[in-house]
Amino acid sequence: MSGAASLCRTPPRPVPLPQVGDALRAIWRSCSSGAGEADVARSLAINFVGIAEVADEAELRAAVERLQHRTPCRAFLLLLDDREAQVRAEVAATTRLQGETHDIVLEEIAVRMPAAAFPRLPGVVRPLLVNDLPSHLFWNAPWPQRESFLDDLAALCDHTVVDSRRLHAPHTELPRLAARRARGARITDLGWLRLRPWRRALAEAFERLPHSAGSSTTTVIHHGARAEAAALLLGDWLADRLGAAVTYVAGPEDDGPCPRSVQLRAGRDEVDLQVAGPNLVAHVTTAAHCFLPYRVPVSRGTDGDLLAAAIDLG
Amino acid sequence: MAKPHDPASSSNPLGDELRGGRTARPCALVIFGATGDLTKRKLVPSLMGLAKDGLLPSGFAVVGFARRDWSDATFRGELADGVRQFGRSDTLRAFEGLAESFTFHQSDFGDPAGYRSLQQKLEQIDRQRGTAGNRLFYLATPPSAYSTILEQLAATGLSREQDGRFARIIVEKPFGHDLQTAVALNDQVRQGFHERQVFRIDHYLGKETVQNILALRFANGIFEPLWNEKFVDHVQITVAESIGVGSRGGYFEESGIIRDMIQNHLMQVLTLVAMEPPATLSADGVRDEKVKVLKAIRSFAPADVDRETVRAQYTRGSFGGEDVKGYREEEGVAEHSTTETYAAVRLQVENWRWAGTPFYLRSGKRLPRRVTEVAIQFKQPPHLLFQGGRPLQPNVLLLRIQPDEGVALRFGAKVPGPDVRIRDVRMDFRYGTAFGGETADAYERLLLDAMLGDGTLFARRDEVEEAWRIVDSIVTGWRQSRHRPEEYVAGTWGPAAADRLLAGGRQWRKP
Repeated sequence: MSGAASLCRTPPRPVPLPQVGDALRAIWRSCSSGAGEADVARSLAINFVGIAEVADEAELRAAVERLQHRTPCRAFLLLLDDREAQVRAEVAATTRLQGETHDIVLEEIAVRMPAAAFPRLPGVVRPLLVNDLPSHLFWNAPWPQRESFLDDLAALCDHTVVDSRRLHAPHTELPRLAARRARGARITDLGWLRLRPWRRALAEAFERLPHSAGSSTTTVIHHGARAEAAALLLGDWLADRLGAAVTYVAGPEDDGPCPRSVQLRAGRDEVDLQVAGPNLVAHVTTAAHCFLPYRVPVSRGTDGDLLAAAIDLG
Repeated sequence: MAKPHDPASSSNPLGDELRGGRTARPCALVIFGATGDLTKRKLVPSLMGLAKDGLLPSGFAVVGFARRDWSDATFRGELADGVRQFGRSDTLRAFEGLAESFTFHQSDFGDPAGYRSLQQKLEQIDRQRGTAGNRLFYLATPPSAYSTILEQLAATGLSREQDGRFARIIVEKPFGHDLQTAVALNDQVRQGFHERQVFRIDHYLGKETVQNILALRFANGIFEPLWNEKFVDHVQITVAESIGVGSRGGYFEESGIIRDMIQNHLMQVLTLVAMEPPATLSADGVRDEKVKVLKAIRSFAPADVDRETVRAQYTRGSFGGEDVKGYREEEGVAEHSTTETYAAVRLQVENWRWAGTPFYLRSGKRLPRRVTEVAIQFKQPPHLLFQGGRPLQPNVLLLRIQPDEGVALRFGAKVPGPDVRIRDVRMDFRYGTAFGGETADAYERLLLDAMLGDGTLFARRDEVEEAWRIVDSIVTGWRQSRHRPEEYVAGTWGPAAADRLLAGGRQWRKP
């Protein structure tokens, strides 16, 4: 909140799994001994359990990097890699230096393993969770073939974050997600949060045009190859709220995880929402008015910011 | 005027997307005195902070109202410069996206034609930008212009709310110079605006850490049972500034630290620390309880003021290795000035919870550090087992409001070893560490709340007037006193005379 802070990261250190706890304590000691008269504190606010395929490791690490700025955590990075013959772990920490104080803001435990070792994961994570802190699972991998994998990790945590853009078959997998929620699971979908500017821009449109319940509404959503899940989420929402008949137009382009445009017609009123550079531009026309177009930023930060927001919600 | 679509109605089938996230309703913000520093340094950078966080409605526009002959382009250029210098990261991009929503309206504050043309401009903005007939007026002028503007707003009907459209006014401090002028100002505001339309800004209340006082007290089970005269020995509230009066000497001569800081910021913090739990967190729920605290503080009789307060002026000294002027050497300050740059006050909140527990309020300029904190000092244990029965350092719960925002608890712990020796240790929570990321300016929160119509963090008329009642009684006592203000050397923690306020072995903290 005040004063400039700098971050210091220890190099990752390979350790046998049973010695992860000791390795972390060694990091605390080394921070203390290097600090001179400075205060050293661990300022962890959550346990974070992130799972991803090794191809997405850089993305997961970038997200955790952003997350620790907002929410200091003990982070487990569980990386699925079928090239690995066994389970391997390494530990690292990030310290925030501010004036005379050193705060350990990230304790990172990276675990690499083949998918076959998945059933062992809860046993790896459980004893290393910091007591009395809320635990968040970030399932940043495709929907598991055996849902018990997800169940077992989710059972360790208070809240699960998923990203529906990772779904390979959103038509069938989104309903499964919804069914979990209906059973009481606390799940936040980054895909849904990513659509917030779209939902917001559409809601703003209805601040300008009078809507009468029961009026016939049609919607066309254009989307690229990676945005099918997002288009379905947005379409379902419009169908639910407006009773809109929704048409999806898929293109082959890979232009990001969100739809490309939405055209909505309700009687003589029209809303046209298009991506234009960093903004969504909305044109709203009624029988009486043609409003000046308005813009809503299409994104409010990185996926890491979105993850931090999801964790705040959870 | 054609009736715009009413955004407050429940006809928006997607409306929860806007209201659930505390997004403000569409509106036009009219800033009176828009060419001044406040607009450039605080208001517009804060608006752009809201825009960056997605908290401004798309139906939003700003009209700058001032006497200077500026064009829209000049106005926007000045504001862009302000956002660049004083805005949070990435807010300039937000401004560039919204720049066309900022227009300038040149007029004298007292010219009725200027207000008629303002009304026409606002109606045009409603049609083009979907601002829906909602108005938020901001008095960012010197207080001497308030009266004229309020009169014109009432006369032209701009202050009237109708057909679900809101008209609100934000008033900057100072809210009067004393009780009499505060009452007169409030009466004048009331001619055009109902109290629920009025938002008196004390930016201290927009600080996260000030709001955290309520969270700490009422969201946790462990503190509130101790939060009373049975366990609390006394409370110290300190707002210290390291700077002198600088170029504000002329203004400061008229106000002194008691009007500039204690009447508003310190009294507001005091009410949050001392209030009873409100039944709800509604604006009036909270403010009703805050007012009760002020009402429980008796006005001072003039004869008691010298005993219950200390006032002082800084003298020439050394600060950060440099020699600095004494107060009476500052530009715009009278040679024989008796205006106080430091004040300490002992207040008794005479109610069931706090009877007999003094609250010490202190504020000063040219103190060693810029710091704002509330220290709750607890009583000693009833039976002293350790260190031969000698009193230990008391437990202190420290609420640090700025800088190093956070909460700390001081307590005694056994020093490892064969002897039983107790040493003070500190348990520390730092806001910046536990909740990293960029913190919004206090004005962001307050502007948003005003757009939302939430008055919780704004001072209500009766709060302002009760605070003035207490402060007036102190000022009257000082005026009648035979003593001049004490002196303290710039860069020290105030005059030695301040120690006599703290009876019974208590000491001022050196934060």
